[in-house]
Amino acid sequence: MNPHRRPHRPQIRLGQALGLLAGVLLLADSSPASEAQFEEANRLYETGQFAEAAALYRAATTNGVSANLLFNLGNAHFKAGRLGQAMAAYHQSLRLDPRNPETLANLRFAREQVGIQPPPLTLRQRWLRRLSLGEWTILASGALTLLLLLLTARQLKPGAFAGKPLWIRLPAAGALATVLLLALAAADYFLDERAFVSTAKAVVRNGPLEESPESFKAQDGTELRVYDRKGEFLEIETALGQKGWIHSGNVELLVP
Amino acid sequence: MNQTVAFSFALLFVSNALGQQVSASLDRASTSIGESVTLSITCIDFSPSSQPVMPSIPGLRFASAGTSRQFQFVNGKRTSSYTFNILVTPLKPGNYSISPVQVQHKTRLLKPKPLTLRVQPANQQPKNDNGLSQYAYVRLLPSKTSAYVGEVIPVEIQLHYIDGVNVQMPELTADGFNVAAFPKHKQSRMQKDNRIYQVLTFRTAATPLKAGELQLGPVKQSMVLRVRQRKSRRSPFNDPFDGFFDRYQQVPVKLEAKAQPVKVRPLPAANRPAGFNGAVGRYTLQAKASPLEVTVGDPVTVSIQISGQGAIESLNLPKLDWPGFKSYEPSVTTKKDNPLGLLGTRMFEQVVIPESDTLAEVPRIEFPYFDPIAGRYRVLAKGPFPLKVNPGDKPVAPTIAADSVPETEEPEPPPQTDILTIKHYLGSLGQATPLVARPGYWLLQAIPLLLWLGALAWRRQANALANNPRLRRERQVAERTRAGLAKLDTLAESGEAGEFHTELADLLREQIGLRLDIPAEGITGDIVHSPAARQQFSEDTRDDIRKLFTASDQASYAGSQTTGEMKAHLALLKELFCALR
Repeated sequence: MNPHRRPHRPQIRLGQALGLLAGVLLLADSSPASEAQFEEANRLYETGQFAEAAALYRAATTNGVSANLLFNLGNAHFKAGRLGQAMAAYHQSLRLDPRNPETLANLRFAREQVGIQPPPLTLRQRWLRRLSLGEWTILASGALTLLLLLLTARQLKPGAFAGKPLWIRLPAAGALATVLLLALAAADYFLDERAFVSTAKAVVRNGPLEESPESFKAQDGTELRVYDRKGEFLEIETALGQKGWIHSGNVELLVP
Repeated sequence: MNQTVAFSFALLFVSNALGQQVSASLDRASTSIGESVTLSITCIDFSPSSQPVMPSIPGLRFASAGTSRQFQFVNGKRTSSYTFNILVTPLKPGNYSISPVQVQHKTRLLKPKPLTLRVQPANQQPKNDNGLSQYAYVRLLPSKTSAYVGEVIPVEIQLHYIDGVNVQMPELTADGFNVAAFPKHKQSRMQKDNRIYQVLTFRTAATPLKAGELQLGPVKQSMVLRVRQRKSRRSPFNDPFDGFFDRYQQVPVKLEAKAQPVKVRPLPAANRPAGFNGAVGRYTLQAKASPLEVTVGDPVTVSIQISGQGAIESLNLPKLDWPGFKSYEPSVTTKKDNPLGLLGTRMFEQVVIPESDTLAEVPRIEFPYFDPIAGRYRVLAKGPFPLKVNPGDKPVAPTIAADSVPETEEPEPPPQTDILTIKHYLGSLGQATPLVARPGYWLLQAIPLLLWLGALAWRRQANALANNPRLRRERQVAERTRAGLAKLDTLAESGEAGEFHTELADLLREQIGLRLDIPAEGITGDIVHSPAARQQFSEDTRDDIRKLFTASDQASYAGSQTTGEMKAHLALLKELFCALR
């Protein structure tokens, strides 16, 4: 046995453990059950059984979600004539893969069928939604980890960093900026209270009760901003500024 | 809606031809017998010739509370205001209209609009079980006790306290009501029974959602009272400074005002106009359409303004389904004239497209609503507007103007006739929970942080060692001793006496040099006679040192020694090291 190998063993084990931990905690897994449901749902879709395909896609999401799975779910809803649910699924897919051209094209096409403009996005929202929250997280984590490793190296080998202040300042500025952007992106993600009308003519009322007078009707696929919840009713506003209360059974929430 | 509602938005102006204005306001709309409110009469851009002339109102007593003057320069324009503060003390319960107040300006008399003050009987002050009601109490004052479903009820919550801090927002229980958020409260002062109370007035609006005998309240409010401590009597044995610096006790309290019954009547089913969509209040309607000469397919914009009192933000237009016109969803903007949104204007911009050149008018626009004061439905109407529609070859698809920036998350769309088909690759499945919300992510993210903290601690320790030569030498000698003792064991076993004693003497010198803080080189057995050694080492220790040095010298001259002798010297050396430590 080579005695020089002995000290490296714990390090290798530590590295392996960290890698395993990362894999278990962060990385995606592939469930055979989901794969089978996905394949079966695709087959149903291709034979024109859109509602059944949508149900199976939905069932597959219980084991995990992917942008492709949600895209197909949106397609199945669209073909089944459920515009609101289709748009919600496309939006959920875009939250995972915001630059996917096919999802963007289908969402645009679905909106054209609805004929109602969505609530406008602010400049900040448009900019932040160019990347998914996962991408923002990885960017910020990478910048922060780089900074911390450089700081660690500076403690271990101070001479290597002497006279090179930018080696720390630039990564520090990058880490600060990306962490700030991650915080903004997370706030945008978690506070995104949108809903989509999922029935043909949903009644919007003046108050959160069945007895409240009808205010207006919203058509399937209308995008709504949700402000409040009371019982089974949601206080909403359309892109055109119409406000009222809608029964939660008539909408598909972006974040259920 | 009664005058109290009108009062809630109390800045009422009367203008004269020269721009001078006089306004009057009360700091609270409701009070109790004996509790004064402040009436402020403000003269803008003029100085009155005399004190305002107060009306003689049985049940109210007026007393001057001073004047104040303010100047403002805004964009180079100078504005002055002269304010008379008048203390109004009610003597009897009831609803009072304070009118007419008159202010003399040169030869003219200016009169602000009348104000309404509601006075409750004095015994409506809530009593707290803890006896603190003399220091603070809260009141719930709905402006009316009966209303229709959907009719907005302005509500005042008044917190009266003598001294306190950390006042929390009131918690109003209102089952069956939709309650607006509280805008910023108003602060004023009130005198009652020779006590001055701070009064915080919170205003909100409650809209009943169903008919029946409802309860508005109770309202609860938390704060910390500052109550003056009273000593029973002075004693010469008390600390003379006791009570001088710490005379107030802070008492957290939760005040409560009891619920008020509100009788809510349903909107009458009889004579309900078609198109009624639940608007309750008092409104006016303005409408116009333009352009009034178009080609088939051209858009006509119908602008509708509904102004008045009520739940302005929840007003919606009845659907304009006119035959021969294609209509789009209206764009809506709201202008609120008071913080609660009970006064204001709701503006609708509706685009309609004539689809035939036979159309001759934009149809009549109707807005039905329920007037709760009159207790009946009313229908506001404008139009019809004459329209000339010219025949066109190809109707042009209209574009709807949007006030805000359109969503541009997608690139310019290519022509598309159907959705793009499904994907056959599932892709990597992930949790629905984003990475940033998973504990595992934060666990991993902590690793580089811990590495850095570890390096930081190591660096501090290294720096401490570098800046402390004594400590550094201690560590070096300890290391040298550890290695040397092991070597001595080996040498003793192998019987190498010369090398054994050289090593032994070296270790001994290192230890003695460290203890006496002198260089190790050149230390001999004679060191035991030095004053430092006499001071620091005991007689036995000095003997052991001398013995070991002597043995070492003898071994270097005599040559051979047995393993047993060497082990005995090694044992003595170890004992000596223990003694030196």
